[in-house]
Amino acid sequence: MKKIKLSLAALALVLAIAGTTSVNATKAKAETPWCSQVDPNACPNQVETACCLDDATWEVVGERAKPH
Amino acid sequence: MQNKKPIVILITLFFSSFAIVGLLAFLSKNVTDKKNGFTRRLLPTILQARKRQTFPSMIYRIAGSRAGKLYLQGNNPYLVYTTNLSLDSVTSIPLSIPPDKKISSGTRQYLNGQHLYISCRNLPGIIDYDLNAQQSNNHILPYYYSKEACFSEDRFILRAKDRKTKDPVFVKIDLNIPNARQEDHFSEKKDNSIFSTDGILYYDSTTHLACYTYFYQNGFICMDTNLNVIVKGKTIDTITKREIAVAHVGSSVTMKQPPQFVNDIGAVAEGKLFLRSMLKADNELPLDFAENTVIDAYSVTNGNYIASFYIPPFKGSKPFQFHVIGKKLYAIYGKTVVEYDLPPI
Repeated sequence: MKKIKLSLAALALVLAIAGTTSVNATKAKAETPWCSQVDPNACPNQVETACCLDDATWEVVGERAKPH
Repeated sequence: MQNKKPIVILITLFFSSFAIVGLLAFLSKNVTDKKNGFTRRLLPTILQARKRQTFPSMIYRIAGSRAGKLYLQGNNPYLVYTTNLSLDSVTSIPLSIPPDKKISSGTRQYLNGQHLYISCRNLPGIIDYDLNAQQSNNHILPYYYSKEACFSEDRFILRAKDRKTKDPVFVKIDLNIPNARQEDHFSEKKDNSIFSTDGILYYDSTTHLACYTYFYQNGFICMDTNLNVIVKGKTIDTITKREIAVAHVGSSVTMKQPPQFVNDIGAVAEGKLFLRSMLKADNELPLDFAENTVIDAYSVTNGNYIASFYIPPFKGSKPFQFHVIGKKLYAIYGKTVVEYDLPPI
């Protein structure tokens, strides 16, 4: 029983390390600044990409002051 | 003997964890180095910084040049910086414009002769500031727009909303007749999304062509000032149209997830389009692509690809914006502008 517990704990450790590495590898790819519904007020000022707009008028919504 | 088994298991698992991490790192590297199915003609020359100048505030863009002076837009909409073409000195010119909360962000300055136009997309309108007379004239527009390019005195091409279909179209306007506008006849009117065809609008005063490059799809278009398409160019990547997921949040519209860029910032000068590609070519070294800013050059008159070169990083940073004036390339890195000799193309 003790061996099983120990093995399971070790396996959990292995999975945790592997999972963290995998998540970090995914994060490294998303280097381009963007905005989304998660953070609609994070539209960077002076960046040419359309970010958050009023659906009816196209007025820019939530542009923040600091660009880069 | 039995007591030794857990130790053996632990040692095995310990080493296998390293093996798994190593395997994932290897696979992750392979994903980054994936082939994109195209190659670049990279110029052998490396851009060398000739001069550099640090300004009192962040520099957003170069508004233009006249009489041997560069005019640069900083983070204060009521100010314009000037320097000579060799970036030797800095002068601040305060603009006597009545303060307005709506022009605190989202403004873009364009120089045309003695006119410094301040495009205020959120006004919406364009302020015409006469640098000689030091007087401003507000031109309020009856609709919002997302891009602009000044092609002559008081005349602009904008990217605005089609009145019927709500799709983005190019419109030609005269600031003195704000209610009159001429729309193009080539923009696709089918998905109502500003995002899928989002990009940057430029004007080349040499060829008198306005060019539009796309962020999320292959290609670019160049039109004359009567909004007739002259060139439909293909960029060297093999990406066709990307699908952009749009989200509606209350009355606003935004993107559901980070979009994958194909091309980013660019510049147009003397018949050439210089476009930053966000995709690595198969014949590039991953480290070269990761550390530098790769620029692909195209002809705006026939759409042909010419060659590519790298803009090097400055203090570890990539340029926020760059401009080509004559044979010089000016790259903006925060408060610092660096002048490079443009490689012969």
